[in-house]
Amino acid sequence: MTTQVLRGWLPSLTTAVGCAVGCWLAVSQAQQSQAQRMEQLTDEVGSLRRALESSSHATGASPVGTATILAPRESRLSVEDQEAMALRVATLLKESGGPVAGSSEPEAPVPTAPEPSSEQREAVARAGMMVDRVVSSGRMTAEDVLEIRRELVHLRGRPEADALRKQLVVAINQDRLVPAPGFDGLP
Amino acid sequence: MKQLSFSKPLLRGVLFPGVALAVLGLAPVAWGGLQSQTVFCQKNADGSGLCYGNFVGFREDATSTSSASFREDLMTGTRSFDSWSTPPGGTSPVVYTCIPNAAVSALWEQALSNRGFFRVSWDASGTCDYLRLVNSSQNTNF
Repeated sequence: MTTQVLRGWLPSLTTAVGCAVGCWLAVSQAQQSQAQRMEQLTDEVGSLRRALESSSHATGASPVGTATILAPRESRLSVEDQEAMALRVATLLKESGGPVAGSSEPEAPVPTAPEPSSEQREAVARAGMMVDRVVSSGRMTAEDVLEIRRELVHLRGRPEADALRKQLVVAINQDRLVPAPGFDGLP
Repeated sequence: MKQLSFSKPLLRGVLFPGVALAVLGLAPVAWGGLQSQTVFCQKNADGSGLCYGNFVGFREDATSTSSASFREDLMTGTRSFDSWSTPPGGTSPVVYTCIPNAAVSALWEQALSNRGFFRVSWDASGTCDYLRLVNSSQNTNF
């Protein structure tokens, strides 16, 4: 009788226990992985919060929003949520005039560049025409990049070169200019 | 008094599956080593935007055109970030690029040698105004 009962119940019991143990271990492993990831992301947001607090102490401003920005460690936030929070803190820092790129020191005034030589003025004119042509066409090939780069080599460190590159960057980011596949960086 | 005894079919049919399931649950514990592959870029109508992720994420992305680069041209002195990635639901890659401001440029050497997680954002003028680098075990698969 006992053997029959055991033969009837033991298979189900053993399988159930096995399933339970397996599931528990799998779930605990997943929780551990998620906890590690959360810890990293929470640390990142925490460092931003500390930067904001130090900034607000310096300016006397209230750290608006920080109480709701940092969620408890137990909450489940996605990477996108964490990034959105980090972006929000960065925006608050920028608005409060605090450090955003890790430096609390104000930027030194940019020294005025000396007058460009005649060769440099010619290079600026040629590069400017190329940039205008590329932006108006909406396409930038590898040859275009090389051509503009050849001119900008003569303008190393000059604000005119930076302005021309910015012109390309803005057009690219506004989808008005599409670099050809194999884009090897800005000129 | 009846003795409890297990027959071979009972062992094969019941205990082995149970043990196998338990071992299956144990297996991930033995693997260890959390790795993340992250790719994300986004931009607004005015051209401002952000990218974050790690290089292994861009390299192993399902879209073969995805890439991310921190660059420095030693001849022209140009420092720039650029990325190609296809937005969710999109069919063609989108280009994102920026030139660092003075504060971010001061960190560019670290960006050039970064092997982990990065996050860069830029304003409407295409100026990279924020840079975050994270060196962590889950991002080291360069």
